[in-house]
Amino acid sequence: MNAEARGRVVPYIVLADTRRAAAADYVAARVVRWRSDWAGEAKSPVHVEVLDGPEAARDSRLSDAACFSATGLERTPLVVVVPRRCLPQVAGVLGDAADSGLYDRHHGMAEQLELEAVTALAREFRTADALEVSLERLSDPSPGVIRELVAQRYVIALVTLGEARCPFALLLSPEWLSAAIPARGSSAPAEALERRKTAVGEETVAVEAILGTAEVSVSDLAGLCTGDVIVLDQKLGEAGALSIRGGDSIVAATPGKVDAMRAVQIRGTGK
Amino acid sequence: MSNKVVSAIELPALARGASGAEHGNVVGERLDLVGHVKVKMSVTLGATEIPLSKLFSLRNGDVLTLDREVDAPVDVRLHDKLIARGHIVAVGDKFGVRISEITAD
Repeated sequence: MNAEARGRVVPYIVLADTRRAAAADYVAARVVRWRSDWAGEAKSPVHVEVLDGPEAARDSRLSDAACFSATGLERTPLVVVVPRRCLPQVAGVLGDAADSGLYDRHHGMAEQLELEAVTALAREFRTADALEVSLERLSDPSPGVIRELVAQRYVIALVTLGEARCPFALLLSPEWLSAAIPARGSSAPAEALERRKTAVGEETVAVEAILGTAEVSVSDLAGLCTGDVIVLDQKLGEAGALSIRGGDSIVAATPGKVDAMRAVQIRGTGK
Repeated sequence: MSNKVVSAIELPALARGASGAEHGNVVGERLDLVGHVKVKMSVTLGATEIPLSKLFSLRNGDVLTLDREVDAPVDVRLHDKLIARGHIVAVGDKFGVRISEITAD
């Protein structure tokens, strides 16, 4: 999925793989919400790129030896990596720029990101058992740690915030992916759609208003002429149906008009 | 109890079109064979395009304006194929459609 923002920016780019795409969708939505929560109105673009494979650990954007990283306990499979040189920019975009003690708050900064993310995961995916909100800091936050996590099939979501393009990374473990994102064809498409609702919400769909239906025999159909009257199964005053074009009925709808145009009024239950 | 012997049976393998029989339809379009079969037509008032976000948030009482004028004919469809157009009428206590145009071949 490649979501093009209104206007000038592409807020996030993801690779083609469905699960990683969903992961990146999630991360992008999450980051937008963080900005909104922390800094009021979101002002700057968000770019999420999913890195994977052996090359990911050697990505220059993650190879800053001074990077700070932290990870959760065994069942908190999330890592936040913020290059030390980028912390002021990240904090600025997220709304901490006014804090004069910023440079002393690196650890708190990353920890806040982590807590936000893990709490959100637990809440949003209703998988609190699998995503405990408890943290343990890595004793050796070096690129070697990142390489090790990539070898364990972590997926790296590289998030770039703001016009200043200040990055940080979220490392999503296979456990997180399997807990948060059902495999294609698994049992929870409705929940998956719920999570992706934001991403697909601007897509349009054609809906049509069905007044009613009638069953006729093939022989009657063959002899159908102008002037004939077909009696529908719909009683006067009863609601018809609104349906996705070419698909199922989704909700009952009463026919009417608005000015010179036909219209329908939604009447609750799906048909 | 019957004394008939029961044994396994294997159906012959069939090769498509290999019987040597005459080519051509053996049934043809004989509507007399299927004349009694019922088909379901639907009558459409009109359509509109809406964002999924709006679809997801539809509530009781919401009004959607369609793409057809009040006086325009309605569509009669069979499996999504437009077969006729007509005008809405009342037939007793039910809706009906008086056919004004046959559109399908």
